[in-house]
Amino acid sequence: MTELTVATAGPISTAPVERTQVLSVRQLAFRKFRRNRLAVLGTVILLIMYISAALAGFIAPYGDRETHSEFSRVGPNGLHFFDAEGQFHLTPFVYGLDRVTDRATFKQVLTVDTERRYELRWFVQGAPYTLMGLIKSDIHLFGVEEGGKLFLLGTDSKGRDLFTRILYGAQVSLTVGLVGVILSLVFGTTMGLLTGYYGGWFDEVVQRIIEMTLAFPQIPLWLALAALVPPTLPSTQVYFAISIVLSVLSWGALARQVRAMVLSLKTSDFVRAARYSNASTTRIMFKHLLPSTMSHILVVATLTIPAMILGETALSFLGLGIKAPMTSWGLLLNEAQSVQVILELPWLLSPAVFVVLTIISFNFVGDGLRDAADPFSR
Amino acid sequence: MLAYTGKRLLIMMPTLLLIMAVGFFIMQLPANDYVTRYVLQQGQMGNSTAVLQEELMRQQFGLDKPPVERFFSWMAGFLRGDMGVSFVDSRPVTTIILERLPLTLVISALAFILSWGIGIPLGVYSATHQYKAGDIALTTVAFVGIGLPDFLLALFFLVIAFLASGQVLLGLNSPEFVNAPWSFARIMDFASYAWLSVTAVAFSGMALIMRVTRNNMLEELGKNYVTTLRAKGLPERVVIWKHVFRNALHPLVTMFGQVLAFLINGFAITSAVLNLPTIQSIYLTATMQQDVFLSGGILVLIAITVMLGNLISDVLLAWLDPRVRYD
Amino acid sequence: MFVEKGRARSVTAGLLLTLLTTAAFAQNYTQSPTLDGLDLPPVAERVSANPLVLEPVESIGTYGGIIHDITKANLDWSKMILQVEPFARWERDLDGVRPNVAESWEWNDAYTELTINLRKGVLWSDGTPLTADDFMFFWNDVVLDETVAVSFPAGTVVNDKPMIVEKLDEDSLKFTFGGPNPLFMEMSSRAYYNSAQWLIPSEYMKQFLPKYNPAVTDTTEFLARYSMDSRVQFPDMPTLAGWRVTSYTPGQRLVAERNPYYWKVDTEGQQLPYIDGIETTVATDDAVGQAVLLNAIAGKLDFQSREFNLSDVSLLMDNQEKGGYTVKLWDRGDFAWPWMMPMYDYKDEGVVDLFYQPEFRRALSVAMDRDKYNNVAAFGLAKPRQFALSPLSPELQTPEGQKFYEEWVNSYIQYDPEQAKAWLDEVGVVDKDGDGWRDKPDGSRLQMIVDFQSGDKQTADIMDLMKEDWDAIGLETILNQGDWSSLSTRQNSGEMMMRAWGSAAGWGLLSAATVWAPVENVEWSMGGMSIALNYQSGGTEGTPAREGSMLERLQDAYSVAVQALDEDSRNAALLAAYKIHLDEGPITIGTVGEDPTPVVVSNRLRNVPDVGLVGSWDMGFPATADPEQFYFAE
Repeated sequence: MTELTVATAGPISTAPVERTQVLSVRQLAFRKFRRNRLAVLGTVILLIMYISAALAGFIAPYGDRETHSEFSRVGPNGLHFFDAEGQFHLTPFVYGLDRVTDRATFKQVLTVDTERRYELRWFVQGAPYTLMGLIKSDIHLFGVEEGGKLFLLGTDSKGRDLFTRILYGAQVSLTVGLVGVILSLVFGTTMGLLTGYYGGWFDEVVQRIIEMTLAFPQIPLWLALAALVPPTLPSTQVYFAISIVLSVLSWGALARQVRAMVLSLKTSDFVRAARYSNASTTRIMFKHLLPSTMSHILVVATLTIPAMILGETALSFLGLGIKAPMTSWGLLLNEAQSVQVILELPWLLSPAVFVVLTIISFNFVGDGLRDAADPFSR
Repeated sequence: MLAYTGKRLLIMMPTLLLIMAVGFFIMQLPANDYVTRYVLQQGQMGNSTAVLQEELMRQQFGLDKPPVERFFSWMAGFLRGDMGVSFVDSRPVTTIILERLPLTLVISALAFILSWGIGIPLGVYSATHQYKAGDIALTTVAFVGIGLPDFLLALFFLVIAFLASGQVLLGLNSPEFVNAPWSFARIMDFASYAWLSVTAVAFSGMALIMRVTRNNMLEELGKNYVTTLRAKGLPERVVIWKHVFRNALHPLVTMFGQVLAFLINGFAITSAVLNLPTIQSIYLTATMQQDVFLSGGILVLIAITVMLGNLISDVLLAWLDPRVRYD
Repeated sequence: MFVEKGRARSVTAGLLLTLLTTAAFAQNYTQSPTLDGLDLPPVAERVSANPLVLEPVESIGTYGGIIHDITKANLDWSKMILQVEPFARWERDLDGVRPNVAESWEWNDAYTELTINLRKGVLWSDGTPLTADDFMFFWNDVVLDETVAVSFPAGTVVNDKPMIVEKLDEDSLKFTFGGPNPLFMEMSSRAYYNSAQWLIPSEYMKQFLPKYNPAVTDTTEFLARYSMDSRVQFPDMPTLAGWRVTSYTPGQRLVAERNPYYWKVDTEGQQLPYIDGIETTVATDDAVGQAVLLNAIAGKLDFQSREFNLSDVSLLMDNQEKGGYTVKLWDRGDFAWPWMMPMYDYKDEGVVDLFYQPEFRRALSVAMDRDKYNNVAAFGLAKPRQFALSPLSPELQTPEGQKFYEEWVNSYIQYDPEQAKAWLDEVGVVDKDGDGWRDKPDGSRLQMIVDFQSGDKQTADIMDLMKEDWDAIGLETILNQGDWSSLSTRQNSGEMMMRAWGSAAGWGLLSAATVWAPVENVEWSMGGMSIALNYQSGGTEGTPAREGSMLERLQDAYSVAVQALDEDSRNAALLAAYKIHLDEGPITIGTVGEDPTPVVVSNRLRNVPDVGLVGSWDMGFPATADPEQFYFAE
């Protein structure tokens, strides 16, 4: 509440009058959200992720197809401030790397040469890229001197820098699933509201349709879809199409949950009051019933987005997800999924950290939204 | 309610038929059938003579007849209780399903009990201590559970168990116990293997349940009647568990409908990766190999469980909440 | 070589037979202590009148022990140990075949009549005798009978005429072929799906045929037992192998125990096998990789050569001491993994024109940075190579052959993108519309579309790198990864331009002749399925190879080679065919190959050869390494 002093025109009273500011529901919600520190943290993290993804070409030290085949399967070789003698350098650097295949032990042995140092540089020239399809450039935010290699999170089996791949992967993972999720939510909620409110034969029919889609043989459907797709289609389009199909099939679960809530709310007082005041059905549904179900929907939304990210890993497992040369977190996790990786190349599991971070952030944001929208929450 | 249940059961029949028809025809979509794949696979291994048997194999499996005819003879067989045979080893589908059913149900049930049994109380705790240290810790753990696919978790546990004990926990029994009759020793052996998959699956499931419960509880806790109940002087425990919790159950009850199907079709990839002798792992293999009777039979089973599950959850919802009416 | 050895063998076998028959009566046979006390006939009666004597690889063995291993759900590993008892088995060094169930055989001069003498007195694992009647039952009541879904086996039909089978006496059969068939013994020695499958116990099997058992209405039970894939489920079915399956839990476990009626002995008369049994864990395709790796490092596997990946090698090597095993390196036997097959029956004639020009193919070949592929996909352990058959191929085993091979395998494998560009310019493949990609000589768009199968990591990795290389010389390359069904549909309909195939072994004429000449209508036929079909159908179906082209000449060379009656002329014909590849090639393009394949052998297990083959099943490994003479030392 803010205080405003209003000057009165006459000598009636010179005492300041307290006035309270009138805020709309939306503004109230926004303030509430801002006070929720976790939600704000989540929003910040997500913003950082999305912006980094958009600027992936710039931020990544290497190009998305760049391979360093002599340094495949190398662990993270980070930046050092202190050199081998213990001296501090203001500009961090990496050491030189050498790789030899020992044919006797079948190992590829990496030696770090502390004699050679390559310093960190800002705005380096590197592999060309296109930002968001519009801006072409070849300047990267950071890199190391010529001859040095900067593998912040190590390299994969083909010698591609993992940090770069994670950035590019974010572009796909953070966006491709969204459309499907939104479609699924909108359709599912609407159907849930309608069937719950009207009931009757309409409800029965829709419920049976939902049953069919839920019982639908998913795996054979995926395989059949995969067989029908022409090979020259880029895999992002393939995944996009598949994700839309999958969302269309999964609206059923949400619809049922919304329906359950509507069924119990249908007979409640505020709905009856709305009906008696001749509110149109649409108004009842969207202005009264929907907000009550909103929090559940929000939770489902914030849980579905990560589900889409992960669903892609499962599809990759069956050979249907994103394929090279595109990258996504699901693809990266799929490549990391073997005993051998866990035992010998554990850094390849780092995309999982980013996935978890994204999910946590989405959830905190979702919590915050729900709290903010719910006028009764503490 | 009884009339309603009866009506629902009746409608299940045509729905099931429709699912069977669609499912069957979906499976015909990929161009190559079991025989062609078999011949291809043999050829890849170097056995180029398998192609000579191709036509005869088709005849043997009945794959040379047109799809519609095959569908009707499959259906007819179903009514007799004959689900056909698996092409891979010529064993009846019913045998294969029945021999895998018990262990599948045990593992799934354990995972379900754990994830709901732990998820719900933790969700309630999380809601009642919102944004305190406990809630944040639990939330983080939950997200690790949701964020990582269950088969990745399972692989991780597998490696950790291996490094710690030298045991390779693939499958559900040590080799020597695989065929043995069920004794106390075998149960202990089973437990030493099963914990891996159950934990990995339950971990993911629990996280989900916890989040949903927490959310529903928070929703309810903001309502006026809670204040009223507290003002009346009821102990907090009664307020939470006798009133708030019951109301927060609705979405969970709806989700319960999917549990029945989860029992035989959940965590399919984890089953395959951990070599569990369950229905879902054979379903995966059968579908990819176009072993149509086996995968069709399991498909029907899944469809039935989904529909039954929905029915159960609708009935439960009505029982739980007197405001809900279906007429 | 094959045939000559056979003839020489039959003579030597005859001599040995006489010697050993006399020796048999004189020699004392001993059996495993586990069989003592069981109600069995004396061992001398069980090992047959003329047991096969196996020379141990290292030393005479002692009885006892169980082998633990792992197989995939399709049981291929187990089948290759438990079901490979053909008429003749491959020599351990793959230099021809040696008598197995057949103790000798003779050809007539024209190679149209073959007399096979079965080992006298061999008994099935239930004690009933193996005789020529068993084979007659197979031929007359199974193959020739139209109501039983078994077709004429490979190698028995020549010039469209099936062979005629005659029983000469209790242990001898005569096959008369419709034309010269000199490679029949080698063909029928292939793993478990040739003569090993034809040998079935007639008394046992008769009860499942409607013809002999009126209670049986169809052949389902019979076929389940006849098919090698499902035979293991029936422990009551008699077998000829060293171990018989005693229990099989589908998807989980397979247990086999020694066969007391086994007809092989060691050089001191001990009845084989030494090892009491084999316990195999069955794993799904998705789990088998983890299963073999973890179990190997934990020291739980005694003998395992399949299902390992090259990426497992360093972990396996590291844990040898802790796990108590040694890693031997057998050969994968392949000639390139993958090799690139241009499809000359592709629907776009303009592309096919380019394929027929050697400069275009050479450009594709030298644009590849094979060292990079080797480093990335094969840990630097494979070898860059051109498409050339395996160096172990018999026809290349002469000094001339070896020199030829060296030239062939190293042709056009240098990394020279500038030369590639020059060659492309030469054939008119230049960028006409300025979009940065080269076009066909007539100006239309050129895209190199390469198909390959999903699930093959080495191929997938190399394809990604190859795409970069081809893109770099201006050829727009598209990769299409698919599963078998979708790929084979494309291939059949002329939609496939080029295929990357991860090969298994094969050489000469024996297996996969169609990898060097388009003669068999299968997916791995070089040149294109339709062109091969044209040859196979005698010119009535499919697309003919262009007249005078190297494809047509390869088909002719194949015809010559396949009709050659003696080894020398056959080898000469094969070399002439390969020369076409060298002079006008590369016709199919190789990348890297000869990956070493790890075999895990427990330190207690002896008589396992250091050299062997893992790849193609045709050569019958590991049965060809004679696992019956493996033993556990204390």
